[in-house]
Amino acid sequence: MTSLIFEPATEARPPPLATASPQDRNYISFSAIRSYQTCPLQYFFRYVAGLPKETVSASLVFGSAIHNAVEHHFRRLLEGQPAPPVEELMARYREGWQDQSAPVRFSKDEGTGTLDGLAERMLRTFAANDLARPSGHILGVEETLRGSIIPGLPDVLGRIDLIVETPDELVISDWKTSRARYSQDQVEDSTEQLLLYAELAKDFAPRKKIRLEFAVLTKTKEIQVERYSAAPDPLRIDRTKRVVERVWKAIEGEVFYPAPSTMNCSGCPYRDPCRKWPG
Amino acid sequence: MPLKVSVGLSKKIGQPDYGSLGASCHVEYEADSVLLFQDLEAFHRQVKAAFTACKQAVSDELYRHQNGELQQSPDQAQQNNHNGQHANGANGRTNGQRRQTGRKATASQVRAINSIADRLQLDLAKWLHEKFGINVPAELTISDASHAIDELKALPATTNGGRY
Repeated sequence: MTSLIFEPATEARPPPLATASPQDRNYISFSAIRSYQTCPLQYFFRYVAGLPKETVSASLVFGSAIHNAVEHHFRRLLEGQPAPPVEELMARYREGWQDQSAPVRFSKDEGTGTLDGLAERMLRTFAANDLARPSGHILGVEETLRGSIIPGLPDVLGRIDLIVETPDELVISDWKTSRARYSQDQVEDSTEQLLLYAELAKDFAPRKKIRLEFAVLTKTKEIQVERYSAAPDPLRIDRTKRVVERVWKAIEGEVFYPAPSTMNCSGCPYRDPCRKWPG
Repeated sequence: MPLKVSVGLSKKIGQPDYGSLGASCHVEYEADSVLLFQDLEAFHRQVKAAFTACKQAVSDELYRHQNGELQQSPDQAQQNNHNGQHANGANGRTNGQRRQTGRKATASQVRAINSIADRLQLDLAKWLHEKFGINVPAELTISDASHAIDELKALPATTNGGRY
């Protein structure tokens, strides 16, 4: 079993040991795979040692709180209720902040007041956008799907923001918040996640083609709702599966190491344990 | 004195995309009226046998049409569903049991069905049993769950609460 040893003199908390062997996991999520790709040691802290997050970045909580409001909007539609007003969405947004237990780390120009104002503008833009009124039957909102899609690997677990069935197609959507409009690289990156989700949901409407879609709400001065679509490409699905397979083999082999970078480390909730990690 | 006995049975089952498939069987036969006064048990046996024969005939007919539809190409089947017309002429959104094949309803659909039923103060188990022949929404297929949600959304709370 893998263990981490911390110097007792500098760390009052008992040394965190691996709470489970990586092989004990009977499922793997895309976010776990992405966490490993970002930093294998961060993956270890979170998924193997089970360390609680010491802090969480305000932008992460903000995105999650917006997500909370968007989820509420689509659930109301699924239940045959009118679209909720922005005030109701804001209440859900605030609940998203209250659900957060770890200390929130704000950047120098951030505060709850400025973020609340931004959230209101974003949710108002969202509510007025066509994407907030999908045509067809809503089949899933924040739907957790699980299935064996890669032989020899644990089940893949996905949480899909929105699944809609139209007369012609099954649309699998993911909602994101971003500082700016997506670059082509970000589009490619996000599509990988949806490719796996498409595999999990492909028997929802077997006679219909699947369209992958993600919507990006920008946190820019003038809020934008950008829509990006893609069709599942068998070659890309195959490649994504192979990447997941390789990542899983590395996890099984307990290949854990830090991957320091300004981008990764600035928002990492395990900065302190990472510094104390003896290697 | 001869007694004329008329026995009949109809059954409809739901199909995807608001379609339905129905079959009925009615028989008439003459029985000895003495049975009514002297051998009621024999009379009941005869009627029961007639119902059993009807039930079997209806089931066979529905099975034959369902299999016939399954053997069509997906396009043909879809055409049928869009038109809402079937071999026996039944059509549209009707009551009756639906074919329970395909992936089960999503958790979101189940949650929505429960939520709408709560709002309408509906006896959901009874409604589901009448419409789909099941007792809990999790037993619906994705397609049937969508139909169920559409139907529930269309129900006015007041009339519905009284009936279910």
